[in-house]
Amino acid sequence: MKAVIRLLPVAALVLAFSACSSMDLSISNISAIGQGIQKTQEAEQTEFTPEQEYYIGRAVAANLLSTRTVWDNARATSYVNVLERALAMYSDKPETFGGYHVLIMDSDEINAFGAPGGLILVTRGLLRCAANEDQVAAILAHETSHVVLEHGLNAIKQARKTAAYRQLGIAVANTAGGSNVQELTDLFKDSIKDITDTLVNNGYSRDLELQADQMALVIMKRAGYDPRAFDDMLKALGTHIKPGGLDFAKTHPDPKIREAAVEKTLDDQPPLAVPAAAATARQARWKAALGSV
Amino acid sequence: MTKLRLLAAFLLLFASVGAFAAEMSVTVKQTQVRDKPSYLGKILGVLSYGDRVTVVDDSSKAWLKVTGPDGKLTGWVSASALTTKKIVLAAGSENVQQGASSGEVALAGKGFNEDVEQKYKSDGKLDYTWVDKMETYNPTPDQVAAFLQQGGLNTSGGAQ
Repeated sequence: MKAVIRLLPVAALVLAFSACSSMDLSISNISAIGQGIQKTQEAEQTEFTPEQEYYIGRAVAANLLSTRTVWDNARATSYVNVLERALAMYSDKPETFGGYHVLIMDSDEINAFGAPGGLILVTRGLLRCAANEDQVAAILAHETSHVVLEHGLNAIKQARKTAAYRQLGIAVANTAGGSNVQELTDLFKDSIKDITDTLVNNGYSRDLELQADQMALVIMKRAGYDPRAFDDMLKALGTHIKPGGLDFAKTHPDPKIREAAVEKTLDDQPPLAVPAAAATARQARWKAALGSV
Repeated sequence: MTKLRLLAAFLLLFASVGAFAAEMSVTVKQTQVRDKPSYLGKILGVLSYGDRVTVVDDSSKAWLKVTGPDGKLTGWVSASALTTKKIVLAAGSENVQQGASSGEVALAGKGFNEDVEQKYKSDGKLDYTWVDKMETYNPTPDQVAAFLQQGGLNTSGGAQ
């Protein structure tokens, strides 16, 4: 027994070293390992990092703003940004690389865009359709959901993403740096075009829109808004949008289709009672901030 | 018997090599460390992109209790601001092209970065004035807390 006990530490040491010995550190192998690392670097990226998503979102927003004017109203802008923060903190992704920010566009067009990373653009025309704060919350919760679900990034064509990941991998392996800025910029430009084309012309698929609607209901409920306001907002949109229009009508499914899906979810939820004082406060601040929208 | 104890200690030490505390990195520009798992909690300090933290409590899904890189600052950070990957920043440079190797490592400033943005911006003659401006719209925690409270909304300060 004593002999066995004496041998045990030795056995443990042998065990410890055998774990290391599986790695052959001869010179030729070190070089092979080096190549392996390089290959790993080149192949490793399969998604955009939050930092890359941030630069993509900024470019998308800059593009959308290049043909639109901003409604520079401090009170309204502050209000929608506080409301957005209140909603985003109850989402599944409360923090992004650069954070969530909202800008109001001076346009009668009924539209909103949730650019990657959390830059949200909403038109005065759309805000005008909302009859109260809860409905504005519905609009912002829907755009926030597109950001959380990374729908903008998904709009980049797969072949382009594959090419971008390859270039991004080379950017890692290429220690000289900067040499592929041109290639990266070309890919960046095409990726931004894929996203803006989707946001402005083609719209997301019906499935993605319905997904964003469902997530918006969750965000609203968590934040303390009655998700029924989302349904009210869709009904209001139904009366305001012009079929065949070049804005929301073109890029979003028929509000009736969205209403049906939302109502199915809301069916088993009891209405949310709001204390009278809170309801009055909400209505008053909404009117003060967006009364002139 | 003493030898048996020694052996037990040795094996324990050996086993503990693999059981190190989880480390994570800050994956957003800046994040606040708070005294409780809530956006309405008191801000104890700020962590920046790439900062390494040690997770000391992961019992909540949406929040992690961490200790900052200096070992002094301990508090709650939103899980959405952290990644298990190690983020490598180049010393003295915002744009990093060189760094470590495995998939566990993300390189700050890699690929679509400020250089690419500058080139894209000048090629397309794009104006980023409003994009930069909108990023300065940051309501204070007090503003948000008052907004939630006055509106009869959820004042827990974030999903748990």
